[in-house]
Order: sequence, then structure tokens, then C-alpha cells
Amino acid sequence: MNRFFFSLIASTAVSFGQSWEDYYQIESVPSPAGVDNQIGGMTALRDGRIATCFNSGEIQIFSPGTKTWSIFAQGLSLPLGVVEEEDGSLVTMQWAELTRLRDTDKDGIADHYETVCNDFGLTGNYHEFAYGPTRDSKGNFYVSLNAASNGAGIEDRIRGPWIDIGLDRESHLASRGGANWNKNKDAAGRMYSRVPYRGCVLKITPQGESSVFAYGFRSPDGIHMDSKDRLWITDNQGDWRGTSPLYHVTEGGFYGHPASLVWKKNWTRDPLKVPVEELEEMRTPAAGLFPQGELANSPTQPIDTIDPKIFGLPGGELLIGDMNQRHLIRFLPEEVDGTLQGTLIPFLASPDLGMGNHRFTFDKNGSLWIGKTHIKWAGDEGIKKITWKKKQPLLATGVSLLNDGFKISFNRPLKEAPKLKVSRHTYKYQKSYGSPKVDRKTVEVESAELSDGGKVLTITLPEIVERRLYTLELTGAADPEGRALMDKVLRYNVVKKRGNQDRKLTLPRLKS
Amino acid sequence: MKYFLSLLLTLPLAAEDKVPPPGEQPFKTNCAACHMLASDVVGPSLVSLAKTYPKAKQGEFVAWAKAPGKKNTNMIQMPSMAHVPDADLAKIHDYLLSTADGVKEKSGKELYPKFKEPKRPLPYVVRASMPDSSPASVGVILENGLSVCWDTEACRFRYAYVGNKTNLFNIWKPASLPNKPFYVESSDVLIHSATSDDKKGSFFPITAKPRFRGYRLIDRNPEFHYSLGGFEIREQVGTGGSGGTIKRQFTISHLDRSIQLDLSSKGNAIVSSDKGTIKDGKLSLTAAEAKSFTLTLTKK
Repeated sequence: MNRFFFSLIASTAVSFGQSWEDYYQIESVPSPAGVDNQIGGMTALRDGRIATCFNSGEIQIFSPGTKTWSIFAQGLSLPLGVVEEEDGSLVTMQWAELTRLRDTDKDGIADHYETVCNDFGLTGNYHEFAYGPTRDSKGNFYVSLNAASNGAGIEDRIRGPWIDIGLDRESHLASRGGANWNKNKDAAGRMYSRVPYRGCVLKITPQGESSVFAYGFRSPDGIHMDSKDRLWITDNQGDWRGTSPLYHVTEGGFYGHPASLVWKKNWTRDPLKVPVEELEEMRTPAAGLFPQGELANSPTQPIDTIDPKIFGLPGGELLIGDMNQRHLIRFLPEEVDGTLQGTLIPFLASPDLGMGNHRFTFDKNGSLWIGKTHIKWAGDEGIKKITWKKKQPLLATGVSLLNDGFKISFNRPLKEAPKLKVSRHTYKYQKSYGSPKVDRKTVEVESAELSDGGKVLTITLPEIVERRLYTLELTGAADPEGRALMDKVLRYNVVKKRGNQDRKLTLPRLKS
Repeated sequence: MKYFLSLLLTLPLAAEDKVPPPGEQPFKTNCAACHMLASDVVGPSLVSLAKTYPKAKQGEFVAWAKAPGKKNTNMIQMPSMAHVPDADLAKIHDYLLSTADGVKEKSGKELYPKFKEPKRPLPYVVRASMPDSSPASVGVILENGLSVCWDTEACRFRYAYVGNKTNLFNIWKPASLPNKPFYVESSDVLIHSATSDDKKGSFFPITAKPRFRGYRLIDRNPEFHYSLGGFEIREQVGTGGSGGTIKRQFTISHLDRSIQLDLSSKGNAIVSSDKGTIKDGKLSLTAAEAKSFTLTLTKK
């Protein structure tokens, strides 16, 4: 205790003890009565009201003026996202379909539940969550479909067709929860995709024509089209996911989880039998990596940051949530030779924020609304609202990869160069669940130099290695008034080095 | 202005740099998503694990974590933790024992108050996986104590049962119904069409895949919309005039020939139609009659 107290005093001597609550107000917003207070979708409507999907199947709309809720739709099956169309219709992704909810008689309640797209399969497996939609500037929808989990089998009646690549259907059936299933489940694959298009992202036109947009997902809870029509998807650590990734998703891409490869045209092989080396060649690396248990365990929805004058964060970033961590995460994207990669930094770490931060929307006043969930995993319930107190915390506002290091920009000058600890590591790409950190190396810092009046820190390293996650710890960084840098650990995922024109990426081979 | 790191090493340690217990990080990395301190969530709580695996059973704990079986029938089976070194699994075990020490299991084992389905105004329409129907089904809970399963995959009325349970959607399994259906439609194909020259008495099943288009709520009653082989069909489901009856109002557009509905069924109900004739469980309708007709289902 004494020792703790001493070090506390010692550290305040360098910087004031600050918390995020000094800069952001965190409020709870009461949910309506009679709902399962877990939230799968949230969007601020053009008229300023907040549409919210509850796990008990309602979409309710909150009017900030009167602080009252009203039911817009009900009886939906786990709506996990909602967007507003130009005519005021809401479009939501339910377990079994993408649905347009129209209020044709203008009484404030949807009376037409129009099926936009149900062109994908269901087996009755508990893990077949369906997320989205997000929309591009042309009005197309994008949804992401979970793979099934071998924690359970399938039901007798499915929405198919069943594909005959892999363990036979009968074995999936026979044994839901029984002894046979335990015998067969490994052959099914930890996460499996045997009906269309589990583990894929679908693109759906406003008229409902769908096509597979991308392959290779496991549990892609977070799907977001940013203001530049770039699609971002988070996925969860598990099989083929050493740690949770953030992907920049482009058409036709394969994002690492092989089960959904069966939905590629002319694909005939069992994905579980394709050599890892071949999958490695096919997969697109993640733009960002969340070390498991540190930054995220199950990352959730990304959302664009807004005008820095309204919320205090730089524009052009993503904010991302997580089920287990009591913080949000900023992603600072950077394009290097056409590849999007970047830096993840914790944000708003606070017991008041809590965990289970699942869905996000900015309201008209620039407050961030957060809907929470847990299902039966770690998480929380209810709604939080985050409002900037118009006081600027000291932040890293940009991290740029150099040929031989990193350039970190701050929104205010630092008093002096901080103590730096740099390391790099990666994860195994493997069938089994998760991965330890591998190839961990402490990186010698050759120099750390402040410039631009203290607003830019240039770090020089002996070399940059591709396909490594760099952890940059800036201990003791503070401005001249002693206000500390709010989050000191920056994690830059180097997919590509600068100026490496040999575009066949030299991938480090790791035995699983 | 160039700073060399060796000069900076003298900066004092911040308070948050205190060393966490050795098992904490591997626990957070590998276990925290499913195991909470005092409540069962996906997996058992640390309190309950500490009871199952006291210090003396550390070896068993490590062995189980690497090759788990199914112990709790109401929980999902854990994935193998074989990728975690034995030493870390032992540290995790120590961590859970010290963390759970002196903590009591939360009563009811539920971390959050269990959601209680409110009393819903009826009729109520809810999407759910339902037994003996596709995972994409719709429950229609009527105000007269009867309920209907309508399948959006086959685009047809599957069965009716007694009960007014509204919480039918369940992630983990198909809805459990309060009663066995009293009426189950058993034909392979419901709608049969005459040939284009409408030759009397000659019908063939329309095996084209129907396309579900959604539903409208008309005074809370669902009117299901679907396309089938060039026809647009609407089926509104509601209560009949008296207790124990269900009314199904059909409208079919773009129809140019007679059709037949195979109303073969199992159970204990009588079906009547306001148009056409029912013979041997088959309802025959002319194209004009089929534009709009109503079936009434009466529970015996």
C-alpha cells in the first residue's frame, strides 16, 4: 500500500492524475419498459430521434425533446443493425432476413415489413448471427453473416441448400448436444459454413438483388461503411483468428476464415484440408489487430468520428467498441502504397463506461450514444450517452509509418520526449482457437526526437518488419502544463512497409 | 532537440505500472469472454469453478482445459485451450482461486435480471425458428387463444396450436410451444394449378420455389405476401367470428386458370371455404373464385 502511494505521488509530480471523465460526460439513458435491455442496432434519424433495436425484437424510437420512447416495430428476430432510408423507412437485419420497415399510414408505427433479402441459409445453429446493414453512397446494403459454431449441431429443417463439402449432414443432425456430436464436431470445423453464405459479406441493392461481396469471416459483428465508401469489418478471436482483427474489406477478398470458401464459384475442396500456406497466400491481412484481452476480446461496431469541434477527436478516424473491455478504441487509418493499415489506441477507459459497448450513433448535438449487449457472454445492458466537455485532452492525432520508424503527431506540444518502449509481435494463422503472441521482439529505439514545437515525435528504429504489430508505449508523455497523454499505448499494424515496390508480400512463415 | 532513452529511464513509474497477478493476463486473454466472477454466463463462474477445482485439483483443471468435454448440459462446450501453455493454465487456475476466494455465487446465477416477456397486445406477430417448420418462421398469436406457425421458406401456413405464448424467438433453439398443434397441413405442395387450357379436373403441383416478400399488419393481423410461379399471393391470418376459429383470407393476382389447394391435414380441425368446393381434402377454385377467398379453420 505504501509503495503504491509513493509511486502515485511520484507520478503526479510529472503529470496530473487525469481521467477521461475530466473530458467526457458519461450518462446513462433510461431504456423503455418491457424490453430486453440489450441493444443490437442504433441510428440517429434525420429528425434527431434515436432508433434503437432491442434484443426482444422491438425497434423503439427515442425523442430527445420529450425523453419518451415509442414502438416503431416489434416481433423482429434479433435485429443487429438499423439504417434510415431517404423516405424515412428503416432497414434492419434480422436473424433470417434484411427487412424494410415502412410506415405507410404515417401513424408513427411500421405497418409493412417488407422482405428486402432472405437469400442466405439458416441451419438453426445458435451462432448464425446476421449483422448490419451498413450502406454505401449509392444506397446498397452490406450485411455480414456469422459462421455456425460446432458448440452445437443443426436442426432437421434448414433453409438451404446444404453443401456436400465436409462432414455429412446426418452427423451434424444426429447429435445436437449428444455424444455423437462430441465425436463429430472436430470434423465439422470449429466454425462451419454449410448453407449459403455463412461467413460471407453480402452486397444487396435497394431492390433486394444480392451477391457475395467478400469471404472469410467468423463472427463479424462490426460492419461499417465510412464516409469514403470504404467498408470496415471487425471479427472475433477464435479459430483462424489469432487475435481479433479489423479489416478493410474490398470486393472479392478473402479475409482468413476458410469455412466460407465453399461459396466461391467452382470451389470444390474441403476448406479444412487446404494447406495453411495456400490460405495464407489468399488472405488479405488485417488493417488493425486488437491484442486479445488487452485491447479487445470481441470487437464490435466501428463508426466514423465526427467534427473535432463537436466531439474532441480528430476526424477521419474510426471509433470501435468491444464486449469485454471497459474502453472504446480509436483507429487511425493510414494508406501505405494502396494498403490501408493503421493504429489502434484505447479511448475513454472508464469504469463508468463499462463493458458490452456494442452499437453506436452520434446524435445531432454530437453526443455519442452507446447501446450495450451481452447475449450470454461478457458484456452489459442499457444505453450510455457520451458528451464532450469541450476541454481538449492531450491526444496522439496521427501515427505515420516511416522507412525506419514512426512519426507520431499530437494535438498539443509535449514538454519533452517521453520514455519509449517499442516491441513487435504477430500471431499464428491456424485452425485452432486463438494464438499466443509469437516472434515477440523488443525493438531498440535508435532515437526519439521532438519537432514542430514539440507536436511531432519521430522515432527511429533499426528496421521495419512487415506483417508485424508494433506496440509503442509512451510513458510519461505530458504537455508543458503537466497534463498527461491520455492513452499511452499505440499499436500500429505494419502490413506494408513504405516504398517496398515488390508487391509480392514476403510473409513470415509460422508453423502452427 | 534529441533525447536519448537512457536519460529517460529515470522517470518515476506511474501508479498504473504496478504488477498484476501472474494469471490475470492469460485469464483475460483466454477465459474472460465466457467466465465471469460470480455468475454463470456462457461458462461457469469462477466461484463455481473454484469449487470444482480446488488447489489440489490443479492437474485436472489443466487437463480439462486442454481437452474439454461437455459437463453442463445447459451450456455451450468450451473450445480446447491446448494452445495455452500448461504453466499459464496453472497460473490461470491460481488466479481464479484467489479471485473467487470468499466471493459468493450470485443468487439465481443470473448476472442480469432475466428478461420477462411483457403482456403483448394481440394479435402479435413474431419472427422465430419454430419446430417442424423452417428456421425462418413467423408465429401469429391470436386474441382467441390460438396461435399459428407460418413458414416464410415454404410460404405457407404450417400448423395451429392452442396457446398465447409470445416469446417464441430463441437464439439457442427453436421455439418451445405450449401445446402440440391441433391442425398440421401435411400436403407436400399446397397450391396446384390447372393446365393453361384450364382442362377440368386436371391439376399439377406448383413446385416452383415461392419468394417471400414480407407482410403487412392490418389491424395487427399479418397479411403475408409471396410470389409463386408468376402469381402474387396474399394470405391474411386472423381469428374467425367465433372462438376456436382461424380465418385465412387469400387474394391471388395474375391468375388466369383454376387452382386447387391440397388441404390434407393431420389433427382435429375442420376447414371450410367461402368459395369453391372441398372434396377429399382438396379445395377447387375457378380463376375468378381464387382471386379472393377465405378459409375458416375450426378446432373440434
